[in-house]
Amino acid sequence: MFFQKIAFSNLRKNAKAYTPFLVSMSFLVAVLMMTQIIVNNPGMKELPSSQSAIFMFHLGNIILMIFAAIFSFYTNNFLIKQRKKEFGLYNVLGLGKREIAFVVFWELFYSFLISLAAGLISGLLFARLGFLILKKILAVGEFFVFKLSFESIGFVILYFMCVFGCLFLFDLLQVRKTNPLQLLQGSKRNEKEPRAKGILALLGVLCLVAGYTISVTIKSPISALGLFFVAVILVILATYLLFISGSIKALQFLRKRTTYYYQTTHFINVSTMLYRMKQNAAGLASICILSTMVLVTVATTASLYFGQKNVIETRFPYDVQIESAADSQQINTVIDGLEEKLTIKERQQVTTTRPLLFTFEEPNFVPSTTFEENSGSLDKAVYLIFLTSSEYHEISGKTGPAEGELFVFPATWTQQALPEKTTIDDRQFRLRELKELPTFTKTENPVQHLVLVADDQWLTEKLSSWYQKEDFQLYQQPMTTTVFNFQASDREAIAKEIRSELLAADAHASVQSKDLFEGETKTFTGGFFFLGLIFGVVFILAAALIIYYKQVSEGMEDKERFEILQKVGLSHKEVKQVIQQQVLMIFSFPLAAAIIHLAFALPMIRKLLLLFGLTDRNLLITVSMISVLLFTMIYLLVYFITARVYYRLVERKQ
Amino acid sequence: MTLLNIQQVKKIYQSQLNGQPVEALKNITFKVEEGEYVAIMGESGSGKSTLLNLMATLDQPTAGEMQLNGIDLTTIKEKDAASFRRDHLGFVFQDFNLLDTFTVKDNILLPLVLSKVCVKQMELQLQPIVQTLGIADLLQHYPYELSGGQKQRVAVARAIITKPELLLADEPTGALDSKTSDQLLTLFQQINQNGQTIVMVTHSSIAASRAQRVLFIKDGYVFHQLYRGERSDTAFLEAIAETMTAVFAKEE
Repeated sequence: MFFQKIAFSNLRKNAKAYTPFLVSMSFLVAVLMMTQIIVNNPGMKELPSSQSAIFMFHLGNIILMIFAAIFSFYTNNFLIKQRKKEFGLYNVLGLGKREIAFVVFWELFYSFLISLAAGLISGLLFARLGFLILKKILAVGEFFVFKLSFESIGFVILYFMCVFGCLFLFDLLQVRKTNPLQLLQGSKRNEKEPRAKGILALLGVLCLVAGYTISVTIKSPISALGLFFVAVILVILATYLLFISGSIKALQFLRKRTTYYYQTTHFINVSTMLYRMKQNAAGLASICILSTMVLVTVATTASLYFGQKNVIETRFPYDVQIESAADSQQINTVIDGLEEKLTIKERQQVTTTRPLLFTFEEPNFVPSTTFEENSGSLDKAVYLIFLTSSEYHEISGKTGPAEGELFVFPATWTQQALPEKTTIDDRQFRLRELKELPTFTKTENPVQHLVLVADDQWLTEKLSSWYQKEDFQLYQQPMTTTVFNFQASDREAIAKEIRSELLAADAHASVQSKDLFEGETKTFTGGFFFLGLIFGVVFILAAALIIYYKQVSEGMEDKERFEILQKVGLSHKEVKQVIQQQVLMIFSFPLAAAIIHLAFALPMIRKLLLLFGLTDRNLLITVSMISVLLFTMIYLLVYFITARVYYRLVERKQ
Repeated sequence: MTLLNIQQVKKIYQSQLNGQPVEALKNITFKVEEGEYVAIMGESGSGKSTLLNLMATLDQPTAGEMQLNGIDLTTIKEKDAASFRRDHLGFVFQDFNLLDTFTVKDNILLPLVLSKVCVKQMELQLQPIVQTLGIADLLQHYPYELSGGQKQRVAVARAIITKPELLLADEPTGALDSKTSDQLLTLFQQINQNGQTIVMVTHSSIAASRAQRVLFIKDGYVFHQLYRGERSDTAFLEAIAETMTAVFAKEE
C-alpha cells in the first residue's frame, strides 16, 4: 500500500513530466486498437485476391507495432531522465533500490492503466467515427462494418503489457546502474558524440541496394508476395542503419568542410544534430518508414479504387463468359432463347482443354500438376490451354498445324520472345505464333497463359497419359467457353437474369458477368481504399506525433543552449533562421527518403496490383504523385506548427 | 577617456500584472575609463546582476542614461542588440556557459562565426589567444572533458577573441576552487595590462581585490568606491574587507 501511495502521488506531482508520456502512450494504444479493428475487419476476407490485401495490412500492422515499441522507449527515456533526480533523492533519504523499484513498478502500473483506458476508449471512438464518415463518402457497402472482437482488445492489452514490462525492466536497469550521486545529477550528464561505425553504414548501403534490386527486378507477382516481405525488411533495416551511422558520417563530413561549417546556421545546426544524432537517427528513421508506409498504402489502395474500370476490362473482355462441360447443350439453348429478347453480339464458342499447369524450362514445357511442384520457380509456371486442330478449323476456318508443328497464341506472355522450337513430353515441335485467335484476347495476368493448337490424336493420348491419377482425371475432360456481349439499358438487372437462367439450365457451369462484377468490385475496392485511408491517417498521426514530441522535448533541452547563444550575440531573427533550418533538415530527410523508397517500390506495387487485374501503369504513377503531394502538404503543416512551438520554447524572454 | 558612462539608472521589475513592483536599481551613477579594471561588489539581491544585464544590453533600464563609447545603450533595439553585443562586448559567466555541442575550438570561434568572419581570419585570431591562455592542446576536446578552470579559460578566450571594448565578467570565480580562481584572476590582470577594459561583478573580496577600483552596491545604490592606488593586492584586500564590514554590517 505504501509504495502504491507514493507512486500515485508521484504521478500527480510530476504531471508536467508525465503528461506527454501518458498522452503518447494512450495514442499508441489507440492507434494499435484501430489497426486491429481494420486488420480483423470481416470485410477484409471478402476482398477478391484478399490474400495479398490482408498481407499488406498485416505488414503495416507489424511495422506499427515495432514503431510503438520503439516510441515507447523513446518517450520513457525522456521521462526517466527527468525522474532520475527524484529517485536519487529517495535513495539519499534512505529508500533502498529495492524500494525504489517498487515505486517505479507502481508508477508504471498506474501509467499502464491510465493509457490503456484512455487509448482504448479514444481508439474505439475514433475508429467508429472514421468508419461512419468514410462509409458515407465512399459508399462501401455492408462488408466493411465496424466490428469489435474481444480478441483484438485482448491482443492490444497483452501487447502493451509486454511493452510496459520491458519499460519496467529498462527503468530498473537505469536505477540499478547509477549511484545516488549520479541519480541526483540525473538529467545533467553530458552525452558523448556518437561514433559512426563505417561497417554499419556499409551494411545499410548493401541492404538498401539489395532491397531496391529485388523490387526493381521482380518478375512474377506471385513470387513478389514473398519477396515483397524480404525487400521491405531489407529496406527498413537499411533505413535504420543509414540514418544511424550514415547520418553521423554525413554530418562529420559537413563539419570538416570549414567554409560550409563556419556559417551561423550551419555551425549551430550541424553541431547540435551531431551531438544528438544517436536518438535523432532512430526517430528520423521511424518517421521515414511511417511516411513510406502511408505513401505505399494510400497509393496502392487509391490505385485500385480509381483503376476499377481498368480492372474490369482486364478481367472481362466480354460481357458474359460461361465455362461449361463440353457437351452442355443447355447453355446454347438458353442463349438462343436470349437472342430473341436481347441484342446479343459477338457470340463465340470454343472447346479447349482446361488451363493445364506446366513448368517452362526454356525452351521446353514440362507438365506439372500442382503449384507446390513449382515452388521455388514460380516465375516459370505457365498455364497451357490446348485446342484441337479440328476445333481450330471450326472457329477460324483455317487449316490447323502441320505435322511436327504447334500454333501458339500468347494470351499472357511477359517473358522474352517465344522459343522457335520446343519439346513437350519428348516430342519436338516448331512453334508458329498466331496473331489472333477468336474468343481469346491478350491480357496482363499474374501467371503466363499460352493457347496452343495441337494435333487431335496426339492431344488425346497425352491428356490421358499426363492425368492418369484419379485426382486429376478432371483435366482430361474438355471445356467449352462461351462468350458474348449484349445491349440493354438496365444492364445489372439483365445480367442477373441472364446468369440465373444460365445456372438454372446447367448448374455446373461457371457464369461470370462483367456488370455484376462491376457492382461487387465497387464495394470491394471502395472498402479497400477506405481501409487504406484510415491506415494512412493513423500512420500520419503517428509520424506527426513523433516529430512533434521530438521537437518539443528537444526544444526544452535546447532552451539553455539558445539562451547562451543569444547572450553571446545571436539575434532573434537568426534564432528563427537557425530553427527553421534545423526543423527543415529534420523534416526533409525522412520525407525525401520516403519518396525515394516509394519510387523504388513502384515496380513491386505494380506487380501486386496485377494480382487484382490492374494493368494501367500510368494510373499508379499518377496516383502515387498525388499521394506524395497531399502527404507533403500535411507534412508541411506539421512542420510549421512544430517550428513555431519550438521557437516559442527557446526564445529568450526579457 | 570615458568608455562606459552610467547616469542615474533605475530598474523596476513588474513581475506579474498585479504584483508588487520591485525596485532592483534605484539610482546608479558611475563611469568606467578606457583600460580600467573595475569590480562591482554586493551581496546577493543587491542588484549587481541586474546592473550587469543592463550593461550587457540583455535588459533595458526603466530610467537613466547608459553610454558605451558614446553609443546610447538604452535605445538599442533587440534586433541590433545581438550584433552590438557581438561587436562591442565580451562575456564571462559564473557557470561558464559553454555549449556542450561544440568542441573547445568551436566554442571559442562562436562569436566570430556569428559575425560572419572568414575561416582564415578566424584561425589567425584563434592561435595567439589559445597560446596565451594555455588551452592550445584542448581545442578538439568537448567541454564535458574539461576541468572547471579549463572551462573558464575557454570562456575567457571566447570573450576576448572579438577584441571587445568592454569585457563583462559575472562572478567568474564563483564555480572555481581557490587555486584556479587565483589563476583566472591573474589572467584577468594580464589582459587588463594589455589594455582590455574589464567590469567584473562579484561578491568575493579576494576577486575584487585584484581590480583597480571597487564599487560597492547595496539596495540599488552605489554605496561607496575604493581605488587601489599604489596598494598591493593584500593591502587592497584589507581595505575592501574593512569597507565591507563598515558598509554591510551596519544593518544589524
